[in-house]
Amino acid sequence: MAILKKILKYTVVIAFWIAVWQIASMKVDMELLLPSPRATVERLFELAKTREFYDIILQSVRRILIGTIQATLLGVALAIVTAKIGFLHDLISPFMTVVKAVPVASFIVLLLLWMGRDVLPSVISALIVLPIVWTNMETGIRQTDKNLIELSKVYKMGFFKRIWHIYMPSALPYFTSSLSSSLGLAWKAGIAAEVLALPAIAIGKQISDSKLYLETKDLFAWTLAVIIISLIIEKLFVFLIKKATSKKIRIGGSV
Amino acid sequence: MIRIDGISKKYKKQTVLDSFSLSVDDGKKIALMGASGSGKTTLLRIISGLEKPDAGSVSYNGDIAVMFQEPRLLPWKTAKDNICAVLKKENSHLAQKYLSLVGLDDAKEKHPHELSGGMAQRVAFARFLAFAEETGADNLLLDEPFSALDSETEEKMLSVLLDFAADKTVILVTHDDDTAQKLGGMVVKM
Repeated sequence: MAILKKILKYTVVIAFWIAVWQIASMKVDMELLLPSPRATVERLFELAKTREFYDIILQSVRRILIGTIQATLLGVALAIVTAKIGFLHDLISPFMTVVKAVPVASFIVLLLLWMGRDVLPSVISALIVLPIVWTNMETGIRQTDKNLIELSKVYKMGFFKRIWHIYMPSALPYFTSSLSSSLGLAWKAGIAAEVLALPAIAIGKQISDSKLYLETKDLFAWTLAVIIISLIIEKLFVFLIKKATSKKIRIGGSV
Repeated sequence: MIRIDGISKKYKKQTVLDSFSLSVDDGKKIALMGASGSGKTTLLRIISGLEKPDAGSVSYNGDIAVMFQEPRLLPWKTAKDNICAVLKKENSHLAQKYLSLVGLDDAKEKHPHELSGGMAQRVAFARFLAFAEETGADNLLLDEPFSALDSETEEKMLSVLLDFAADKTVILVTHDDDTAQKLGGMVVKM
């Protein structure tokens, strides 16, 4: 019953916004400026019939995932070190602050001068993910129960055992929240980087081309595809995290 | 042998230990008693290396094993895995052995939040014994290890400790005169 209620609620909300879109497109009455929802979905289905459509999506997902995974690993490794060595925290901190503060567009333009157009979206996604994962993981590690750290010393647990049995489980909630908030951002920034860098096979290039040739229907269809993929990635991530932490975990201090 | 020479410790302006000395011969048992804040826990923390004294020194032969006042179990691990986490892989059978010894066979797959205070303390005791066996620790330090147990279970656990530690040096902090007497060694009032 609760599920039915939930489905009904989402259906009403989605229907409302589609109606708003439909009314706006009828008012504008120019497909070139604002295509209708129906025209957009039809175009998306047309695109989805081609093999090229899936190649393009796979390439974009590949680029952005590579950057995200590398930045996540680097962020976790850095957090482990900087949480323990104050000087290294002070050393790394300004870099992370700058990365967070600099507009993505500035990075894209600057990095275009330095690196290949195929690599750029990965690097941009990485730059979005790195400071978020680092900050959250460092906080998580610092919040680890002092009693458990003492326990690990007295019971002579080695470095890796401490990381695996104590610090990582303590920091897990911080890690998942950092990834869930940075995944969507990395995806959007990666696509933006593709729009400017124009790798040969990329969603960003399709968006750029549709603007160039005034194919507004294509622009909307590709944007809809980006939204759908973003939702799939997010749901997949939540599923994987739930699966990985399916053992009953109670977060909090020791008892 | 554990030798404590003129240990002093202050927290801010409060003196907790003032030139405290104690020598415990190999295999002897000591019950440390005293009011709250008299420095019993601080003394154990200094012996175990968790705190440095302002003055004085500590020395002992061999290894030490420590049981804290609180169970300090990892909330994300089962009772058995909590014990395995402090053991080498090849010694993980000790977890089962000592959980049985403290009467917690049925609770081995339970997480700490599913255990009562007394059960959690017994898991910590089993972990302490397993670690002491693995390392062959000659010196055992216990800080109010049975405070959450009913008198009957406390008696059982004390007898498990005395069997285990027959030839080991033991310093046990307690508030309970009865426990101090049953330990069968010297009682030191702080």
